[in-house]
Order: sequence, then C-alpha cells, then structure tokens
Amino acid sequence: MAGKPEYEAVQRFRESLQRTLSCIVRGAYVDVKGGYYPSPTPLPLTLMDGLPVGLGGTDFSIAVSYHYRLIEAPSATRPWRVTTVAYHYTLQETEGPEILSYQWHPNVPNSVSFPHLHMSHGAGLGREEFHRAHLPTGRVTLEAFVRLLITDFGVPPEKEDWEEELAKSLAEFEEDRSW
Amino acid sequence: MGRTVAREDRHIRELDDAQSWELFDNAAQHYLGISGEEFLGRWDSGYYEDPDQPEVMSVIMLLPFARSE
Repeated sequence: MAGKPEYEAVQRFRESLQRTLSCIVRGAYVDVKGGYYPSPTPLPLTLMDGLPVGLGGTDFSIAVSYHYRLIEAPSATRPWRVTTVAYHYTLQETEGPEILSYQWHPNVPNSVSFPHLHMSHGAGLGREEFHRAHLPTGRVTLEAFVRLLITDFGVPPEKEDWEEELAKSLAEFEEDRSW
Repeated sequence: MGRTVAREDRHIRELDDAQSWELFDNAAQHYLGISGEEFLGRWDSGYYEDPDQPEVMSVIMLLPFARSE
C-alpha cells in the first residue's frame, strides 16, 4: 500500500497532526483505525488513547479527537485528499474541570452543526449561560489550538522550533487537507 | 497488561478491531464510569438527550473506534 497516493494522503494527514501535537505533548502519539480507502463511515484519530494528556510544566491537560474521510480529488498531482468531518479539542485542568473546548461535530444528533466553542466551569466565567452556550466560531485548525496554548496559556513548547513545525503542518493543511 | 499494537509507524498507532474496542471501552470507563457496551446501548436507545455534556461528547467522538466500517 505504501507509495500509493491514497496511502500517502492519509499518512500525511496523520503525521501532520502528530507533529503538531508533539509541539506540546512529550512523546505524543496518535491512535488510528481504518484503512486507506474511501469509507461510508468516518475514520477516527485520537491523541494517546482518547484520554486527557497532561502538559508538562502546567496544571493543564488536553484531549484531541478527529473524524476524517479520504476523498478523491479532481487533481492530477494530488488525486486523493483527506477531509475533516469532525473535531474536538479540549483544554482542562488536570485535576479539575474542563476549561474550553473547540468542537465541530455536524452529524451528532440533538446538537448543533456549526463549529463552536464551549467555555466551561474551569474557565471561571460567572454567567451560567456560558456553561451551556455554543459560541460560534469558524473552523479551527489544530495548529491554531496548539499555538493558543503556547502563546496565551503559557504551555511550554516541547520543541524549540515549534513555530516552524506548526507552520509546516499548517502549510500541509492548506495544500493537502480539505474541510 | 500493556496494549499491543497492530502496527506502529513512528508515533502513529494503527489499531486492529480488538485494540480499538479496548480504547473505546477504557474511554467510556474514564469519562462516564460505564463500559463501552453500556455506552453503546445508551447511545442507540437515545438515552443521551443532551450529548453536549463534556464527558458524553468525549466518548461520542470515539464511537468510530467501537464500530466496524
């Protein structure tokens, strides 16, 4: 399978997300299931067993999960692309409540279909509305989430060249991934 | 007992069906204190009228690990 364009597209997607996560998670790995062909059901990817992962030197943990599909693209040079169909990036206190969560899960019944942000109890916001609200956002990349944690939440990067790594992943996203 | 991995490609762990189920089951236990099987039963019966509870959505996002393509 290696060398086939379908395989290469899926691997680029997975490696790009793993590279991004490794900017803040020591020894980051991602768990995946599924193959290298179009599937009627989305394929999953999650950070380290799907459980919250502590961020070194902080009281924070994150959890990250994706659903994606492999799609055929009208391109001679890149005939296959990976499209994200759901994401879930959560920041929480390691020993406490969720702080915020960027989510997009348009196929979950009884929820909203647009990308949104949850601000939860850990954010320390007093108004009860925040704990239920789906604050609308555009689609948020994993790279933007990781950058937010480093620059605004003081998460120490695990790599000195984290900015270059995020830029590389983001460039791949813009070139190869598709929403 | 440590989990074995069907295939390891650097930091990408490609799980087989049994390993995927184990991941899902562990996550349901962690977030909700129930088994993966119990979560699937609840989910399919419409038990979760509000899936936007943080712990519930965390498990919902892992559903594709529990079900075959």
